[in-house]
This record gives sequence, C-alpha cells and structure tokens, in this order.
Amino acid sequence: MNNKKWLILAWATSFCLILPALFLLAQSFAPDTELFDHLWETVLPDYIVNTLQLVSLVLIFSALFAIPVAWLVAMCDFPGKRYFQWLLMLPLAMPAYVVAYVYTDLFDFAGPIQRVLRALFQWDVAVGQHWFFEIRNVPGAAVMLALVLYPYLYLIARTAFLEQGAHLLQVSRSLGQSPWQSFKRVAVPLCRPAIVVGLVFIGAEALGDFATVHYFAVNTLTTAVYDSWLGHGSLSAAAKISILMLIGVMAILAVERWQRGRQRYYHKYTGQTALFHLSGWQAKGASAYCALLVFAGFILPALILLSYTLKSMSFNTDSQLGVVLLQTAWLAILAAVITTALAIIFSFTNRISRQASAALPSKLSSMSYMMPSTVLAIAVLIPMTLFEITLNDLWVWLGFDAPGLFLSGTVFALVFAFVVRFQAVANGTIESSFLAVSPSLDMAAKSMGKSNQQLLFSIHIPLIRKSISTAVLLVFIECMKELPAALLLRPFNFDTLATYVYQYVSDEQLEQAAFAAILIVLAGLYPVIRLTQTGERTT
Amino acid sequence: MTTDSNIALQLDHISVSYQQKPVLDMLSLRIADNEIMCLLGQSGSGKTTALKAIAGLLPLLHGEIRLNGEVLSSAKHCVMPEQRGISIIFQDFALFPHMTVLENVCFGIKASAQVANEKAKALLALVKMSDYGPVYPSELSGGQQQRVAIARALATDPKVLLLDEPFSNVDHHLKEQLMLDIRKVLKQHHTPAIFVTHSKEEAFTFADKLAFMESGKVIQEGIAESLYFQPSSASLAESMGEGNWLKVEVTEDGLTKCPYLGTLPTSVPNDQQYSSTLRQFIRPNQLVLEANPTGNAEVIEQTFNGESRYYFVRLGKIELRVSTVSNNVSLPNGSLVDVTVLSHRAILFERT
Amino acid sequence: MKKSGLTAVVLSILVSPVYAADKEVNIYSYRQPFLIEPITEEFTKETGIKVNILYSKKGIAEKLSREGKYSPADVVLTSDFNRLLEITKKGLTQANQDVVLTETIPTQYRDDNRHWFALTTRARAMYVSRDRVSDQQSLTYEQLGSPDFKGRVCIRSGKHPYNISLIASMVAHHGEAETKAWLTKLKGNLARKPQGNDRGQVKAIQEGVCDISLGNSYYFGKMLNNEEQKPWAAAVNLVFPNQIDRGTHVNISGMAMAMHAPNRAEAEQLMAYLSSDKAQVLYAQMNMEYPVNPAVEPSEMVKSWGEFEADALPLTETAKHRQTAYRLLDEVKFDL
Repeated sequence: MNNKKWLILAWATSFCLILPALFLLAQSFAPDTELFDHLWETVLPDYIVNTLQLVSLVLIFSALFAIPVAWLVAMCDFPGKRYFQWLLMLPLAMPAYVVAYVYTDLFDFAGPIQRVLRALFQWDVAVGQHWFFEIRNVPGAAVMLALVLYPYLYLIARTAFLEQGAHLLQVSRSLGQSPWQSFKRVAVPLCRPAIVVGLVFIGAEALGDFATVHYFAVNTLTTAVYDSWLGHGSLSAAAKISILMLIGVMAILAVERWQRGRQRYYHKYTGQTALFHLSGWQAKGASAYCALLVFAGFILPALILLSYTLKSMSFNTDSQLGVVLLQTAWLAILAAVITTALAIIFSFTNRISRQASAALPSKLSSMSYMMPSTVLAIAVLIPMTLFEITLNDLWVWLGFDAPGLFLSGTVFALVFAFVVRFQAVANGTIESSFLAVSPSLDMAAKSMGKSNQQLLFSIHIPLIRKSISTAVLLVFIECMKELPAALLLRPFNFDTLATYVYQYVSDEQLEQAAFAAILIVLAGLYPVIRLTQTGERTT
Repeated sequence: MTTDSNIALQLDHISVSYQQKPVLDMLSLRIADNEIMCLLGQSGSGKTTALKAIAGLLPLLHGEIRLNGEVLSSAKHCVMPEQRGISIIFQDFALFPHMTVLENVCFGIKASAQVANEKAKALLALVKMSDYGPVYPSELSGGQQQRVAIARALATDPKVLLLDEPFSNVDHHLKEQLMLDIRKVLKQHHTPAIFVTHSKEEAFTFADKLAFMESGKVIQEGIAESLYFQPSSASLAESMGEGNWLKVEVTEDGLTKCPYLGTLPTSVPNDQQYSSTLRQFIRPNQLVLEANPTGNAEVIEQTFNGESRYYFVRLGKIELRVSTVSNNVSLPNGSLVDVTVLSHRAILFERT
Repeated sequence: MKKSGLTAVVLSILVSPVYAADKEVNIYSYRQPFLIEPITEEFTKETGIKVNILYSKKGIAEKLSREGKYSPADVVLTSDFNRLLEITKKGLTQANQDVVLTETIPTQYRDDNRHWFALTTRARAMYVSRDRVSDQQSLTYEQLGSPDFKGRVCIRSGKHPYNISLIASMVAHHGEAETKAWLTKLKGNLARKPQGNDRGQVKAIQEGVCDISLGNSYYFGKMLNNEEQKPWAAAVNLVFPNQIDRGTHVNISGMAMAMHAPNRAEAEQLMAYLSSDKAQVLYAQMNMEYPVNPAVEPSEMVKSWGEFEADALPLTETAKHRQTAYRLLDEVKFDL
C-alpha cells in the first residue's frame, strides 16, 4: 500500500472517531438558550467554581503524590525501593468510586475513625454539635480522585526522570547545588512536558468523573450535564456545557504552551543514572511516604472490600458474575487491541508521509479523551443511531426486513465508545516509541526494496513491541473500570463489572457487590504489574 | 617541576570499584596549580572513574584525595560534591535545556541577580559567546555549547576543573581553535584542570602534562615529549602513534642490531645488558627511503595524508611503515628502495 | 492485512442478531433489576416468555427517542410518576387497550388514554427520631421549614425524582413563591449538605446527626429486614405527614408500552401479569410497597405501620410543576 492509501486509511478512521465530537458540537448549536440562561443565572457559576476547585485540587494532590515518589524511585536508593516501583502503580486498578465509598464509610459519623476519636476525646454527640471534618466535600472528593489517578503521573514522571540522564544532575551538584536544589531547579522543570501530559490526563479524568463526585454530593459541571440532559431533557444545553468544559481544558493547554515558549525540554542524555543512596531518616521518610500512598490508594480499600465480601458472603451471584467478568474482559481486550492497532496506523502514516498534515489524524482522534464519559455516550449515540435508522429505512425501502439496531443495540456501541475515549492513551504510548526508532532504519529498508507494509510489520512492530503491550494494557485497565459510558450504551442483559458494581454503590450497598468490585481490581492488577515490568525493561 | 607547595590536587593510592568491579588500583597523581593534566588511555582504563572520584560522585575504597591540602575523599569520609568547589564538563555538554545560555551560566553563581548577570556576561565574552545570552542550548552547535559549558563551569570559581572527553562531540575543524581558546581562559583564571581523552592529538594540544592510564593505574606521567620519545610501556608507545616492532639484540657497544637493517644508529647509548630477547619500537618518521634499483626493499602500498606520505615497504620477511614529508614526487608502488634508520634514542622492550 | 482480518472478526461477532428465535419481551427499566427480577422470573416460568431487562438510572427516555422506530423496547418500567408521564408526553408510548388492566388497576392510577399504568404506590414519609421529636402525628412537610427544626433535618439530593415530585406537589398546593420560601428555610434547617440516599438519612438519625428526614415508606421494611440496618430503623418512627390537612404525598412506580414495541403480544401479557394478583402480591411482600390492585392487600408488616390519608391531588397535576421544581432548586441552590 503506498503512502496515499495509508493516509486515506488514517484519515478515514480518524474521522469515524471524531464523529461523536462533531455531532456534539452541532448539537450545541441547536437552540435551547432558555435552559442554559436559567442555569447560568442560578447554579452554573457555582458548578464552575466547584469544578475549578475540584480539578485544581486533584491536580495539586496528584502532583504532590506522584512527583516525589517518581523521583525517589528513579533517582534514589532506599529500603523497599525495588518493590515500591511497581506497588505504587496498584491504585490504578482501583475504581475511584469504590475508593470513595470505602473512605466515606471509614470517616463517616458512624465510621470507625470518628467513633474511636469520639471515645478517646469524649466529644459531644448532641445533634447539631458534631464538627468533625466532613469528608463529603470538594477537598475530600479531590483526595479520592488523586489517590487513584496519581499513578498516571507517576509512570510518566518516573520515565522522564530516568531519561534525563545522570550528567545534568551531576553538573548541577558540581556547581554547588544540593540534591534538593538540583531536584527543584533542574529535575522537575525538565520534567515539565511529561508532567503536563500526565496532569492533563488526570484533569480530564477528574473533570469527567461522575460517580465519585455524585457520591460525595459535590456538584460540578458534569452534574450540570447530567441534569440538563436527563433532568431537564435538553440535550443541546448539555452539549453546550460539555463544549464549555472542552474549551476550558484547551484554553489551559494553550496557556501552558504559550508560557513554555521556545524552551526545549527533550534531549536524550547519556550516562547511567547514579543513584543517591539515602540513609537514616531520609531513607525512612522515603519508604514511609511510598508505603502511605500504596496503603491509602490500594491496600486499605482492598482490605475493606475483602471484609465486605466476607461479611455479606454474597457468593450466590457467582455464576452471573463469571459471565459478567468474561464479557467485560473480552470487551476491554477488543477495545485495547483496536485502539493500539489504530494508534500504529496513525503513527506509521505520519512517519511515512511527507505532509505536515499527516500528523492531524492522530491529534484529532486524541481529543475525545477530554470529553467526560457521559457526554461521550450521548455523543456516540447521536451519529450511531442516525446511521442505523437511515440504514434500516434503506433496507426496508429495498424490501428487506429491517436488521434492527445492529449498532447501538449491541456491544458495538460500547466498544466504539471505549475506542473513542481511550484512543488518546494508545496514541501517546505508540507515538513516543515510534519517535525513538531511527529514521535511518526506514531508509535502509526502502533502499533494499521493502514495501511500506513490510517496513511496518518486519521492522517497526518488532522494535516497538514493548510499547504495544503497554498501550494494550493501559487501555484494557481503563475499559475494565469505565462506568458512565457503559451504563448508557450497553445492550440488553449485558452488564460490565463496573455497571454491576455501580448498581449497588449507588444504593449505598457496596457490600453486596464487594466481590464484583474485587474482581475489577484483580482484573486490573495483572496488567498493572505487567505494565511496570515492561516499563522497567525499557528504561 | 612540581614542588609540594604548589600542588593543587593530590591523589594518593586511591582504589575505586564500580558495580562491584575494581576499576582504580592504588592510583596516585599530582596536579600542580595552574596546570592542565590529561588522563590518557583506552576505554576501560579507568580515566572517567578517576574523574568521578575526584568530583565526589564515587566513594573510595582506599587512599585519599586532597585539594590544596584538605582531604576531600578517603575510605571513611566523602565530602559532598556540591561542597567541593570542583566543576565538571561532560562530552554531551549537559547544558540545561530549559534555560537560556545566560541563565545556564548564572546557574551556580550565589550572588544577587545583577552581580551574577555581569559575571556571566564577562565569562561569555571570554569564551567568545557574548551574543548568545538569550539563546537556548538547542539552538547552538556542539562547539558553541561546549564554550557555554566552560563559562558555566568557571562561573563558580572552581578550584579544579574536570573535563570528561570534552571535545569528542565537537566538529573536527573547530576543535583546535576551541582547545586553544579554552586553554587560554583556564590559564587566565589560574584554574588547574584535569581532562580525560583517548585522543593523543587533543592531549598534545590541550594539556601541560600527560598521565597515561592502564588498568586503573598511572603507567607514566610527564610532559608530552617524554611520553612520546621515552614511553615506559609498550602499550603507551603504541598509543602515541603507529610504529614498527623489530626484533633486535643489543651489542656490546650498546647498539642494537636487527636482521635486514643491520646495526641501528642511536643518539643515546643503550644501557641494556647484552640481550637477545628485545624488541625495538621505531616510529615511521624515523625511517628514510631512497630510491635504489638494487635496493633490498620494495614499496608495496602508499597513502597520501596531506602533510605526509605513508609507505608500506617489504624488507625481506618484515613489513615496515615509513612516513615522509610529502612533496609532489613519490616513489611508485613496486619500486625498489633502500631503508635507513635515523639516529634516535631507542625505545626498547622485552619481547613477549 | 492484519486490520481487515480483525475488522471481519469483530464485525461478525459484534453484530449479533437483535431478535432471538424464542418468544421474548424487552424491558427498559428505571428500577433496579434485583427489584423486578424475582417477579419477571415468575412470569417466565408461567408463560415461557424470556424477559430481557435493560436497567439505567437515567437516560432511558433519551435512548428511546434516539432509537426511534427501531427500538427493541417493549415495556418501560419506572420508579416514579414523572418519568412515566415524560415518556408518554414525548410520544414514546402507545395505548394498551387490554381490558384486564381496567380490572386490576383503579382509574386514578391509570392514564385516561391508556398509555401509562401505575403498579405500586409509595408514600413520601418522614422518618422521625423516636425520642427527640414531639407531636409526631401532626407533622407536616411545611413544618420542615420552621425554626424549631433548625439543624435537625437530613435529606437526599433535592434533584432526586422522589423529592422533585414532592416539591412539585408543594408548588401545586402553595404556588411558586411560597414553595421557594419553604425551600430556602428548609435548606437553612439542614444538618448537613444533601447527600446519600433515603436510608442514609435514617442512619444519620440513628447516629444523632439529625432528628428527622424524608424517605419512601418501603425503605422502613427493607431496613427492618437487613441485619446491619435494623438498628437504624429501630431508632425511628415512620410518620405519614400532613394527616391533619391534605394527606401524605404519594408517588407511584409504573409501566407503559413502548411506541414501537416489536413484541406487542408478549408485552401485553407481561403488563397484564404485572398488574395481576400474583405479581402484585410479590410487589407487596418483597418490596413492601402498596399494590394498586384493589384485590391485593399490603403485606402484614406494611399494614402494621398504620393507615394514612394520601394526598388526593392527581399525579398529572403534580407532574405539571416538575420543571418549576427543578428551577426552584437551582434558584435556591439547594444541593450546594
């Protein structure tokens, strides 16, 4: 296949992936200013403030969690470092709403923590007198989200630190800067592009989160989207608010780009990483901080889930659960494989094409990850059902039986939504490893008469093997946990693990579904560990 | 001659291992004030390890490193790198990519912004990079980056400057000018320096003294000429340039004799005992060719190197390399020649 | 090429036929599956018709309108009246002229045009601390705004359909301005931000966070049947408000036949079954709701909570003010 055909393929697939966003945009222009005005005059400003607060706090907490441990694990030697390297990734396997539930239970008025404290300090329990901190508020929700989202930033930052090479820090120290000063003035600023990527991803996740904020009674713009669409019945108002959110994200990105200016960050330096050997209280502090994150983000919720399972002993749902697990897993694998394959197509096309516009399919397809899941679900339904209905009408007109809703009524809608949502993850992973493959290999292959296809399959793909498995693993984990889109797009008698669990969470009865929640965690666990292993081998 | 009073840096029998493998083995070295010392050797000889130990980036198993009399490293104690006042330059320049040239140079200066800026500008002028203050490193060439790196390193008024293969990534035709410029700056600042390289040309141009390293030890130390003309080891002799090995015996008069070439003239009598198991190292420019139709040697191959012409000549069973100053006339391949040896101080080693 | 092979595999597996061979009926439900499955399983046993349930807390109306005439939905089950009316008004339902339904469901609980039908009723009751509140039998919704209850009220999100219904009925009875004032005062009386679900509020009462909350009547029974939640129920009395004037606000769960139901006959069968004695008994026993079928009595436990006067205002009247209720909540920033 020559270059042009690859380009067409890339554009065609990219176009399919951005259709939902386009339709959403179109929908937002549909007239419904009344509702929007009403919202604007009443609660929208508060929602915006809440959203800004929430997202900022999530970003700050995530950075506070992820960056120090990423640096510690990349650059220092301290007790347990070998294990913490991958343990710190574990919270990725925990769905945020499960963690939220677990912690509210723990810190609630009747929860163990407050009870113990009350007993210790003999606090007054009279009605209206309790003043212990409320966890169900914006900072509380932010901590929950940060606890399960920080691993993304951790992974990216760790790689970035490792790639900085030893010389920069050695020079910094030789110029009189202590390790802490070197970290502050050199290591962290250099990490900036990576940090930005990680934070934008985390911010988008926080922005789109519905289950956790709902559970924490925090009202954000996502609340407004839900309300407008499903409460007031106005899709166009919901679309408008969604576009608002997207613009906000893009504006922040633009500001960051502009502020970065001409600074270049990426330069692969040589030199093995010389580890700082920590000792004494520094070493203990490092281990303690890592341990705290792993405990709070994974071990504690997992233990509590286990205790729920043992308490309720609801193993009677086993057979059904098995089916649900398999369904979810195979959907997730499918979406993971498709996104990765598409990512390869996009990156390869960009590489072999001489046009600057060849980079666009990839960039455009990545944009949808900024859309909150619910919005995405709506956005997916619009073009899909339009297409189906047109096709059905055509079939009937031609005299055949209508095939029915062969897209939105089957798992196709789900897979499509997953692919649209997580394409960015696959793109980012594959793109960066393609960049590391030297262009001279391409030229050598071409000079030996290899076609594009041969170049891709016999040279590129073997070289980027590791990032292919990374991409597949990442998307797999995401799909296993994904909730809002799954709720809205799944077909009959079809539950994903997440929707199954959510049934019970939303009724404050996670205990019944604790076992299923554990399955979600387990299903995500193996990929997470594989991820850290491949990450280690590449660095 | 270095006397005790003007020793800047002193390494006393230091042993260092890296990743559980011994690298430096009881290495000793002295560098005087305002001296540029070159550590020369092949890869794996331990030169970079020695630099890292001096910088405080590697601990010592044995021995001491002293700077101006003060102990920096010993088996028990290691002063932090940031407190040593020793700056280091790397072959990949290691300029901070997120800072401009001026910011890079100001990085280590602990003074007010204004004072730092002025000092930085002065240094940039010294390295001939005055116009590049607001530029980012990625926009500079290799040679330019290294100049900035030097300015940055000198900005903190280091007591010693370490350079790790600093010229490897610099364009060849710019190298020499760069080396001379930097030498001048270092001398102006009275800053002693140690620089590591595997290139003898760099060593000859840049350094005051050379120390040849092999297997973690210093084999020979001295000015370039003494290493070149009086190498104390065979590997050192070879690393100073290509040459011819001849099996010789020492005669009673202190001359050396070898088949085909007969008795070789020597400028300094050999103080070797009579021995029949020696080999002599003769450099290509110490041999002379003369066209002679009845000569006993034949020109097999030649290359033209600009300033010199290199001949491969067969003499009996041995092959000799001969280099001559080039001119427009050359001895054609296949022609017969006479080979004679110029008088020089013989370089002799045991036959292995 | 790898991609085309993959596409073929994907498509062939994904695009499963929408219609199976056996008889079946498709339900789009706002009610959680575990609440209705026991009943539908009985139905399948009796008739052999397979029941497929799609549950979604929100968005079914949207989904139905998007799917249009190719929607596979046969029957829609809702957990409150507003939803039922919404889908009817949007033209997503069709009339079910089955005579059986007129026998099993009283007039006030079904649509004149035969589109929607109630299946159970539930009261929006008050859960009141046993020891800490006086004059429990004369409590009214309006009292929740009185200064006596400052800092003593717990409630779930105002935007939850159960509360929207109640607020809409307040608007119907008192008008917009007064209701807005009431909402403001109620917000001021809250012990904590609206959060959690109806049972969560009872838990809070038991812990002493507040003294009074609103919740649907059947939760009382659910709590009493749950080991962990029993203590919560033990700390409260179930009170039917406004017995001194118009009566307690009730809501219904109901059903409607989807406009383009592909399995019409089966749908009719199902709907008839759901209103029949058998199913209604199950509703009463299992879910502790009040069955609409006059031939079926509430469960023993429910009867033990006492009889009450229900607000006679037709639900259709209440439903008219739904949008207003939403708007007022936003204006008062109730949930924030």
